Amino acid sequence: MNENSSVGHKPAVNVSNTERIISAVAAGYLLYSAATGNKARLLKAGSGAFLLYRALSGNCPLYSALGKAPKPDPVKNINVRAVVTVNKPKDEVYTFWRNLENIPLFMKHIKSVTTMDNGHSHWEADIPGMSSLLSWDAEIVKEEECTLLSWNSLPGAAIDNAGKVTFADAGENGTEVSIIITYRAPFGPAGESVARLLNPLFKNMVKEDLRNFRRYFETGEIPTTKGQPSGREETATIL
Amino acid sequence: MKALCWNGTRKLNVERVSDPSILNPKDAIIRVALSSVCGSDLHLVNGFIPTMKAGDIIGHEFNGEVVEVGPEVKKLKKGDRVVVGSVIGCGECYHCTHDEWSLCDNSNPSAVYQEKLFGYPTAAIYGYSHLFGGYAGSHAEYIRVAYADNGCFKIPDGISWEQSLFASDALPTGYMAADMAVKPGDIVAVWGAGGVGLMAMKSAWLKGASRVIAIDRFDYRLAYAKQEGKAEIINYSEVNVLEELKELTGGRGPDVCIDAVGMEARSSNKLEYAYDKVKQNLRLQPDRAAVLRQAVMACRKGGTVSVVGVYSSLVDSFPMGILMNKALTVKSGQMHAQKYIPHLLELLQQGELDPAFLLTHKWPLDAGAEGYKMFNDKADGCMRVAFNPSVMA
Repeated sequence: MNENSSVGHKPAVNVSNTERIISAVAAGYLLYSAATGNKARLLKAGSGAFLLYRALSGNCPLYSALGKAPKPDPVKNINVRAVVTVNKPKDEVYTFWRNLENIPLFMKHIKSVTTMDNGHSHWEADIPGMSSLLSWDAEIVKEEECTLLSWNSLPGAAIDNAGKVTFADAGENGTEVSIIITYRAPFGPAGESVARLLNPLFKNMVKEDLRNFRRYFETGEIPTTKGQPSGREETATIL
Repeated sequence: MKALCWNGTRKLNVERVSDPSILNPKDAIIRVALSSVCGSDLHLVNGFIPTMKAGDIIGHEFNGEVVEVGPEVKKLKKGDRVVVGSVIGCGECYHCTHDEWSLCDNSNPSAVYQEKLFGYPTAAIYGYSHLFGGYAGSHAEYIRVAYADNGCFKIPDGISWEQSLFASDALPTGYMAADMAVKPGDIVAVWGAGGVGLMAMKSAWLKGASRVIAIDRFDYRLAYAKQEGKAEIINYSEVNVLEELKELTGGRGPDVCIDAVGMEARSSNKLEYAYDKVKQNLRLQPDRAAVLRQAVMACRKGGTVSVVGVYSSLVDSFPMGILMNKALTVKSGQMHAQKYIPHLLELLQQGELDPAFLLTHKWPLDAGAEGYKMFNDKADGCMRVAFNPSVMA
């Protein structure tokens, strides 16, 4: 899955950024002219609106009709990758992941995954900084027994996202589990810059989730010291 | 319960804190019988290990009685007398299943921090800074032990608390130093005649060494080396160590050089010591490595340098060219407690080993701060102070 693979369901981008800026300027001129001038106002308004759509969406229906290849999406999908080797055979690891309802056992911010009869799943996440739970539906889009599992969120997701997990035999080391999570920030380019700022945090979160997967899957527990005694307790007193 | 807390450089206090509880299914709670100071604690107490937090309970070498077990503990029950390895191993990861327990992939909750410093995280250790997991230590009435089935070893009948205490850390560490390096017939030199060094000397004999040479500067420790370690002795404050070692080995050098000192080494060369000490205190180098340098210089061509003294991160002026041109092998590591303890308890039972002589001072936990001071100053003939937080028969 590359940096610009499309996630969700939006019109394909086939207009370059430079062209979009020119379109926006031209659209502004035409619309202004249509509003204030007195010649060919309908034509100006129509072409202005067309160029404005082209600028904002990055999609030119004319280019599509002419068969121009889609351009990379300017609101880039953000990819996070992580890999871990787990000391268990590949088929066991795959079976565990294939039951998506296991995921909250080791992904701290995923509160629940519920699989539905039609193969879709309902996800609920508690993302730091968000006041309420985020939820979305997803479907498995590709599945190769013991090798690959990939999913995509369905239209209407709060955050368009997709993921792919691959499983590779690592001999006596066990199984290499690689994950790529791709998401598109909400709120367009502004949301994108915020998401880019937060990305290192998100990347660490995914890496830690995968580490926790190994810890949980190998030992049945995630190590912790939360709740142990120390001199930092409020009730601690020096004797 | 009472616990000995680190509250800053050379600032230790006994505090009243809450009792530990089971936090994970494989945990057990141990009522501590004996809990020893260790040379590596001095690095923490003296402020040379980062990531200590005020209020941390220290101590990692201990034994005691099982008082509570988590639902997934299979091999232990209430009332068992156990000695516990200081290094925490999950028992399931690649490294644990290959008997490299101190490299455990899973036991360190702060793996993310250690990974930044070491590249890959290692096992957690009780009471040994947050870099090593931040687990509460054993200088307390009770301690929570993680992955208890792997970390706790039942003390055989007839073996006392005093005899089994050092099977927790000093004995397996010294044993590993020899086990990694010594072949039958080798001449073995050991720097540091403390608990670990003395155990390394005894273990070198068990591994077939033909001669053992001890290097230290305290006469009382060298006397232990002679008596307990059956070693020839060199007082580095009196003679030139390199010349002496050469002379003692027919001009060849020792086949195996064991560093049982680590990052706060002194040097007989005053200039070298001053250089290291100033740089360490200015935080320009974390570790002073006089012993390591000398071991590399002293070692026979093609020989092995075995490092069990603790280093925190970087060392200056490491004689890499000498190591490389002399084709030396370096063996090292925090000890793999769970690999060695069962065998060592057998040796204890057979009377092949008895480390109880290390326990020169048995004190109440209330004297924790004084105990560390005496141990640090090598006062009163102190080898090891062990605290007995809950006095047990």
